[in-house]
Amino acid sequence: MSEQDFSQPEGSNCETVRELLYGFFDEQLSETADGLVRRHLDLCKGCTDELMQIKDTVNAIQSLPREATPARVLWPPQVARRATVWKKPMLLAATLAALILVPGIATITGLRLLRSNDDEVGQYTYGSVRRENVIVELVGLGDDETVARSFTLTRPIDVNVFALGEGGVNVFGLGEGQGGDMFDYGWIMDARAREIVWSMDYDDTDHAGGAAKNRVIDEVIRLDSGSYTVYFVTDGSHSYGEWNSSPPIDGELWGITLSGVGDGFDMSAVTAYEPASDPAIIVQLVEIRDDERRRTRFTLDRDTEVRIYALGEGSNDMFDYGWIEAAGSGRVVWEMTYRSTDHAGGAEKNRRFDGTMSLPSGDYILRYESDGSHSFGDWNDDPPDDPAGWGVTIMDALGDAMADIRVQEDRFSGLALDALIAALQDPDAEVRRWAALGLGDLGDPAAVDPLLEVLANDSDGEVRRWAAWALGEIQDESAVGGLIHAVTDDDHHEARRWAAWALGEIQDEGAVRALGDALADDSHEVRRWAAWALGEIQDERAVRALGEALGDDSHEVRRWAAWALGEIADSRAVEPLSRAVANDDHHEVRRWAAWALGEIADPRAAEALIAAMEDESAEVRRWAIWALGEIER
Amino acid sequence: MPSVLNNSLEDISGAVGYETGDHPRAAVSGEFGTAPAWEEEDIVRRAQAGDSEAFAELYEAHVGRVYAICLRMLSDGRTAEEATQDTFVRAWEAIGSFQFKSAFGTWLHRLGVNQVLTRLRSDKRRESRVTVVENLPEFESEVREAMPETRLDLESAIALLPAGAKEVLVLHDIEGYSYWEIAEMLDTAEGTVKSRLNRARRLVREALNK
Repeated sequence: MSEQDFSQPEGSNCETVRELLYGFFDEQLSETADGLVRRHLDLCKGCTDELMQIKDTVNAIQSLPREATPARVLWPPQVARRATVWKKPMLLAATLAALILVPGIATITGLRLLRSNDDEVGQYTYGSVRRENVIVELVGLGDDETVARSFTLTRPIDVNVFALGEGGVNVFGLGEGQGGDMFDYGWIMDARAREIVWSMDYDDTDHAGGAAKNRVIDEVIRLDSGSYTVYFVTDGSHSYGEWNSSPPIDGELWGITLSGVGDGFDMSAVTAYEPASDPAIIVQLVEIRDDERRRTRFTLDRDTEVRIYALGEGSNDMFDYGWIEAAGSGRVVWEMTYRSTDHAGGAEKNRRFDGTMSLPSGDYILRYESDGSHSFGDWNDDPPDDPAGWGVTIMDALGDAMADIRVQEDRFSGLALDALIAALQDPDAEVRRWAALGLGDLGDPAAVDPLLEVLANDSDGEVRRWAAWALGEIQDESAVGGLIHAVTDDDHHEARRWAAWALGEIQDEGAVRALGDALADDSHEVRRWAAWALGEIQDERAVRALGEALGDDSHEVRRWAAWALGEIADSRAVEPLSRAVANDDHHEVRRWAAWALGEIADPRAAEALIAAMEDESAEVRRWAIWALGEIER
Repeated sequence: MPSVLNNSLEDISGAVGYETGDHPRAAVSGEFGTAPAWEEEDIVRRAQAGDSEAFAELYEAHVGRVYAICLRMLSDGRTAEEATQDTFVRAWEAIGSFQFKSAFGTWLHRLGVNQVLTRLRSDKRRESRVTVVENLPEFESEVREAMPETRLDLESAIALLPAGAKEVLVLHDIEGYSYWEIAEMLDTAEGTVKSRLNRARRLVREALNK
């Protein structure tokens, strides 16, 4: 710490003080220095302003949010399995013992069970169960459980369904060797339409090892884009950890696992979906248990077309059912009557109402009553297809339809595309900007021409900027001509900058000349991104222009130019890069020049690099050494 | 993940946010799960006994914090997702060794930071790039989705900071770690941490003033 007195507000003192301001702000200065800075600040408005700016910046940084919502579930797939192994260290031994007792099994290799002959019982052939790309895993289930998990697919994908449960042959079907019922089983429901799209039917299962009632399905199905709920229910006997007979292989997977198929599977197609927080829901009373009387008020501030979805128990009369009253008069405006319902899946007495009606604005009370048997969590017969929906849910029919459009991106992508393209012509620039953003997100090449139109003609620079960005996202080569025009001629520097970026993304060699010219742009940001784009395209025709850019006023531009020259790795760049590594006054430029010389690995650079080993910056010295090593090789 | 339906709906709706103090310090040293400390202790003990549902509760409560730091330090959504997932894998493997000497969140958070730093050190590709952010617009749209309430200009300025400066700024100014804690994590001197922090703040300020 300097002990000189810099408290007076003079030029050279101000420089000293500004060096110390960050430390002063953090109260990290020695007492003496702190006192001097304080005295200086009392007298110097310039430095005080500087301190205020520092304060604002640091405060802004410190108040950034500290939580972020990931776009998909990041639950580690390893955990469920590990858990079960910890809980039941004996399981493996028990499983192996059980295997040895099962007839028809010739070989046991680790946990791999190979099928030896065509037994009359369908015998499942085990490979190692795939654990990658897990979308949903509801496993390790015990007795009397009803579990569910929901997710959204943003595009159609192939899904591997691995379901392991309990089932038995029908008494009447015994002689024919087919037909049976499942007791522990799963299914997949379209969460918005509330229709079953896949279920674990006995006839589709194979023997899963151990007791004959252990059943498995391992198959690949195609799921359209949309939201889904995966269910698995177990009855009161024979389940994971509570086997009343021989367990199956992989008993810890008792339940259902959905995973994406193939090494190229892209998890970004899967996002979280929480049925209860669906924005279309106005009010709901669900997961109703025995002997409940539930009520809740809701208000409609306008006449609303509502979708009512209700599940209950009934045969001729309803035993578990809901209704809506107008709050003031108590008048019943809707009631779940037996005649208005249809079968809700499972036992015949499971009933469903699913329809729309118009409700005028006003206050309402939604009610639901259940009797003493057969309800959520305590079914005395087969549960309905949608156990968690037992009760009543009221949705905004319009919002429901809109949400449908959102999740059914693929089915409706034409619609969204058309709407966004139309919005590019909206009189409000902000709308046009968001439309460009949306089209970039969609990534459909059909948007290229309309975006090029915007890029060429829109009066608002920011709209043109986002059009350039969207074209870079779509990465269609037919946009190159328009982007070249923009990077050369657009009068908004942000539009030129993003056009340069987009050209780097598309990596078309036709853009090299225009990007080379852009290295002389007035805006250093444009020059910098042009240099980056040239590095991405890696065309040696850019070497000369990039070499000249090493003399740019902006060290950022010089740094990117050095990087780009390293990417292109053409030996004609040796001379300008050697000059840069020796003479540039910015250490980052010298560092990247050193790196680039290493990439080019031309012995002519050795002299400059050896000199750079004496550089004041450790980073430069380190990269010079690395580069010399590359030349040696 | 096994999650009994009648719990899961409340759990998920309950697993939002936590109160933080004015300074990030409060968030790191304090309790930032949703459950009160005594309840969380019970959940942690169940997870230590191998109860994956208990671990799922811890995941729900803390994933947002872990993801936020991974996203900022790595400046790439996909890598941040991987690092977050790895953090929870590591947490599951190591939870038996957790001694209750700190809040669970603090311990987990530190695991996340280590995960990120290991990645940054081992990422060879990074050595040959000018900037850590490979695709700024993509990063911006990721941040916009993950933290709609944030200041995008500031996030971009931080993302564009050179390696070294960025880590220090995020760890100190946003996550509230002290100089010596950061020095220890980065295996460097406290003085280096301070000078890098000053440089990072200056660069951010310059970027905002442009």
